[in-house]
Amino acid sequence: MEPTVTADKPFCLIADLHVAFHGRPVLKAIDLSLDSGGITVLLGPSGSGKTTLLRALNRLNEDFPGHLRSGRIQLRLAGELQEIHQPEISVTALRRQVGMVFQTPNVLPTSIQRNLLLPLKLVTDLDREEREARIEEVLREVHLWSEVKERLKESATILSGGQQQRLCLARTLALKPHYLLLDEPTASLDFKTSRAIEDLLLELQENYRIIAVSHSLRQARKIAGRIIVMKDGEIVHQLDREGIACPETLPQLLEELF
Amino acid sequence: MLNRNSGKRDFTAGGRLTSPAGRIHFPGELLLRSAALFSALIIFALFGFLAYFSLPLFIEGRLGELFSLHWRPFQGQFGILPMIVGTLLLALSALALAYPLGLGICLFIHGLGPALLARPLLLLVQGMTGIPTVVYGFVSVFLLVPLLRNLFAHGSGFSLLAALLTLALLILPTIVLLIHSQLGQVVPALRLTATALGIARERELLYISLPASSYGLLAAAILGFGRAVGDTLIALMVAGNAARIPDSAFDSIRTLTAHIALVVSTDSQSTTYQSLFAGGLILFLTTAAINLLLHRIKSRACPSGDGS
Ligand SMILES: Nc1ncnc2c1ncn2[C@@H]1O[C@H](COP(=O)(O)OP(=O)(O)O)[C@@H](O)[C@H]1O
Ligand SMILES: [Mg+2]
Repeated sequence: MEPTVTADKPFCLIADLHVAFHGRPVLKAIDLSLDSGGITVLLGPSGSGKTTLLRALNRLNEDFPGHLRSGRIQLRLAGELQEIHQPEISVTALRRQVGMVFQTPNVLPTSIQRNLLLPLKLVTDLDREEREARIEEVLREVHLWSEVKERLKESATILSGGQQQRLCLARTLALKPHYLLLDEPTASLDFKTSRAIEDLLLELQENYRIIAVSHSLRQARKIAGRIIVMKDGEIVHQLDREGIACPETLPQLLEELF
Repeated sequence: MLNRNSGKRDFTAGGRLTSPAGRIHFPGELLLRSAALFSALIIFALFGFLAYFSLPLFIEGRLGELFSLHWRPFQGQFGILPMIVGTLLLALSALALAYPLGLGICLFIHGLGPALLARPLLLLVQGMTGIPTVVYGFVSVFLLVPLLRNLFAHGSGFSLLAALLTLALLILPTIVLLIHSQLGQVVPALRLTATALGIARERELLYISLPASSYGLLAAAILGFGRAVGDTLIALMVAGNAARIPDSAFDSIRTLTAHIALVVSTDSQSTTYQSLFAGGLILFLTTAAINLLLHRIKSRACPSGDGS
């Protein structure tokens, strides 16, 4: 592994990343360095490559046909920056540390409890008691515990959209990831539920390195510590806290984007 | 066309396709309804026919005679119990062989095996459905039967074993295609979820996708069994057709279907026929039960089962 120039500050370094599907370029020459300082929010028109960039970080793109990548991605794993594509990295272990929640809630067609227990059973060596303690812990973390504690055995598919989304978040958190990749976590939710999730993310940013795709400037402004603006597979803008707070930059962005 | 529009209006207003009075909305509907009615009538007629001819056995209290072990038509004994036992033995053993094999093939196709082999394997199994049953029987008579005869040096080789091996091959595609189509619905949605959680493909398949496919798994078993019970030709050609309960897999058996085929084509004494109709009735009811069962598990599985 090459030594990294920046000491221990950045937790994500992307260098000259290109991703293509079936020969069609989707991400072009992405360079990015993220350090702590709040939630990173990806903004951009649909089709600009936001989801693909998220999936590059947990190597989920590799599961799609016709995928081709070049360039480097380094994440801070076990305390030090590591190139995630090096052969020593187990891709399943990487994905546990870099948890992802999809745009549409994807609960498993089974009970609420099993949605959380099953992944724990399949990827950790916790015993039954520890697993049950863990699911209570994460359900509390996403503020779902009081809503579902009476009906853990019921089918997860009967939960509302917002509840399902929080269940999916809890399922990811249960694996104790260091990173959270959130793909438009409020896209399918109503205004009030979206607010609740946003507040939840602001709490979670204390314990997780969060990179989220958002479809709304309002939301980005509320939760972001940094905004990355994408267009046609490239990063066209980066805003830090001051940029986000500045009253002129955001409307200008809006114009450019849509 | 105009009529069809009024059908649409009903759909938006009343939330169903036909009006409460059951009025006919478009010309094709009359045709469809008559066809459905006609098919239903045929089924009922078939049932009535079978029931009518086997009825004497039931009301004259000759059931004991029917379910006796002896088929000696010239001595007035018409027991079909050996055929019932033969049918069950053959169908269950063929299923016991074909089901795990079929399941294994499906798991292989859906990710346990190398992706490169999945497609050819599926094509092979799909191709098997096109082969006429008689070809399986024919090949079996000339290859499998002599092989078994020489290998085990027991009898003629025409046996339960020969029939079950051949029949397993015959019902394998049914089982594979049913499980495969269910996995095909379930896996794509669940795989990405599982992969993102760091769950390896084999574990996802065995612990997440397979349990979510319970309808297809059950349906495959039931339909496979149904096909095995209903098959006539394989049993007729390679099972030997001795009307008695076998002592081992190397013994000859006779199934109900083969029995009916044999008796009808060689013999036409009236008393013989009553027991034949009873046999037919049993087969008819088995098939009906299988279809009902499928229907029930389907209506139970679908409302909760296909939520993504
Ligand atoms: N698995 C894939 N196979 C083929 N094309 C893809 C795949 N994933 C994304 N793309 C293409 O890449 C482009 C960017 O997609 P995506 O990353 O989903 O954009 P966004 O999330 O910003 O809407 C789109 O044109 C999309 O069609
Ligand atoms: Mg997207």
